[in-house]
Amino acid sequence: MGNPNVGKSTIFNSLTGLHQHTGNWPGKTVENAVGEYSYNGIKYNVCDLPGTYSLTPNSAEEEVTSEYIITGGYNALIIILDATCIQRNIRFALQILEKVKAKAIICVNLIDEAEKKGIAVDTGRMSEILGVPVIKTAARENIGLDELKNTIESVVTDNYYYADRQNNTYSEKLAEKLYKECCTADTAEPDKKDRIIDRILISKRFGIPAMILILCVVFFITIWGANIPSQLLMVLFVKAGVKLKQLLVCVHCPELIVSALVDGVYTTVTWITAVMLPPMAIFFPMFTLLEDSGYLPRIAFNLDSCFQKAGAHGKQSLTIAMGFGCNACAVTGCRIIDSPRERLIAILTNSFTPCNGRFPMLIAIISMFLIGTDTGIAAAAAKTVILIIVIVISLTVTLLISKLLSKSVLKGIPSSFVLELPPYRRPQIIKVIVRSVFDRTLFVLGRAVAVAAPAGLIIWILANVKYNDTSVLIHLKNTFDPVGIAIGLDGAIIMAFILGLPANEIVLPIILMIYMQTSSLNELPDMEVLKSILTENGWSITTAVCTMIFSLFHFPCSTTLLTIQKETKSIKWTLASFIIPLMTGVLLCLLINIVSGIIM
Amino acid sequence: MCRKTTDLGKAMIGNSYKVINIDNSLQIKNRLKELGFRKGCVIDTLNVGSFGSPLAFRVCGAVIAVRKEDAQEIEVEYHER
Repeated sequence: MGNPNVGKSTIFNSLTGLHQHTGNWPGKTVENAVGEYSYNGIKYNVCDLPGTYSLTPNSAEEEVTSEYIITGGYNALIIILDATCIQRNIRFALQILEKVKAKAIICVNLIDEAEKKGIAVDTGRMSEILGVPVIKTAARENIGLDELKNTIESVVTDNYYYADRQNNTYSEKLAEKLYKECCTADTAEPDKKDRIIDRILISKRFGIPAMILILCVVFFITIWGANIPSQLLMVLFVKAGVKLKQLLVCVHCPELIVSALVDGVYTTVTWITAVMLPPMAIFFPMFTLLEDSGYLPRIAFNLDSCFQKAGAHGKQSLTIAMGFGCNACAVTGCRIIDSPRERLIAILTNSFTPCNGRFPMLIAIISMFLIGTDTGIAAAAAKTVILIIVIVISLTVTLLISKLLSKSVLKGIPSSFVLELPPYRRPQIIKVIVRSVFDRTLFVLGRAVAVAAPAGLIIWILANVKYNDTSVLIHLKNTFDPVGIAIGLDGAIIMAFILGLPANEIVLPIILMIYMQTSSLNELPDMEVLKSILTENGWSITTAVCTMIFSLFHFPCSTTLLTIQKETKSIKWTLASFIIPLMTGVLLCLLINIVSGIIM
Repeated sequence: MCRKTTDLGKAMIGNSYKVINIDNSLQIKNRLKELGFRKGCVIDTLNVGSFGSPLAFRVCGAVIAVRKEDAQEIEVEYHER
């Protein structure tokens, strides 16, 4: 355990070989993680706790830690300190040593970073004063971990080092003494480089423009880079689909089953893979790079004033940033917000942020109806600009709804906001790419495919079961049509969003499948073909805009809903999180439809 | 030597201040103390947000951002580095 962002999870990962997510910002870990490792034939269980500044908890994630520390059930406590910030960290260590009588080891982490900054820590002297073993580590570089394991062994097995802790009563004087005797800094301003970067990235004048620029670059690379692999994948999948059909016919598979498998399941699954995989494989690593570099808390710094005016918490922008990846993860991440009122606001409005499942759909609609299907740099830049506008819209609505909530059902004064801005760290690029592809991309893709396969089958069955000479699918579509058309959509789109409840990724493929019905996909489904399918079914610019707005603002996916239920422990608020975005979307679409009806 | 006291809400970028007192009404007083805002501690002003809030300070080697309203409750005196 230790202060936030000292590298607890990194040490945990290197001890256990697990892959807990790590990131360069305080509050990354919000839940206990348990792992184990063997050393010299003995098995050790290790528990990774969320960071805390003291034993008197101020937020939900800190409560997890102090509860665990006080109730016990462990053999020894590893207190992890940040070598670059000993002066503060040592007070925390003293407080723990005084209150908790269990065996303890102090681990001074980030020693490599401290050395670069000209800070030296005398762990021998520290150990003498405190009466507990003190070890230097640099977990990212794998330095000192063997010594740590060694010490854990001797501390757990013997009563070694347990004796002399009587003078560990917390006092200002002891803290100062420790700092003066154990820590020497070379230069007056050890963090000079960081401060120069900060003078731009969080400055009064350039902070927000720089933030928008960074976002633009990230999305531009995603859109531009995903074009070609997406098309290649589509061509490949269509060819493979034809071959698959031939193969199945060859082995005398009944025609009905061939059609169900290939036209239903296979088509949906491959479309989703082709549309989603390339942008995700580009976006996730870039996002993780930003996260590891230490930029995320700076976004919170830049945007805090806006959130304060909306009666919400500055750290909500951190949860929104997480929402770009996955809303469900972000809802759990809302634990970093101390005040229950503001945390609830952040949870309820999180699904307004378009997650990775919705980006491909937004990008596809933008390229089909607003920019054109050109794959050049200029077109990609134009798409980026529109996507940024879409994100600004989602952010504005998030702030407005937050304001509305804090003025009505969730009244209260905005609580205070204290945020630690971590030092910039050079991300480990290879590690980041490998980890985000395997941990995030494949996970999200797997979930989408798991939902897409049965959904594809359902659509196929609905399209092929006839009632009064028309398929059930058409009957259903006609039932939903009046509602859909009133808000600028149509029955097929509404159906797709309902079927897309388990995973938003499948909405666009389902819309297309409903339009195409049983006709199988033998030609190359490039964007032009898709566009003509949509326009033939009555899509106009208004439909495109309304679909985009509705994809931003509708009910959260089922995983997110379950997470909200888990986090709020209240059916009322889970229902609210379903209804609030839905109402917002319906009203906005209705408005757009009426306005466009007047103009056109 | 004249000892001019002021509050941290008026802090200027590049200046250093010594903490004299934190107002008891501040709900985050304890949190700030844990982070190193304690009497006699010297803090450096690093950045100010786009709308004049929050403010970023260097305290005990770490960078901490505090909203202007909260910073106003911290009484400080100008400190020459």
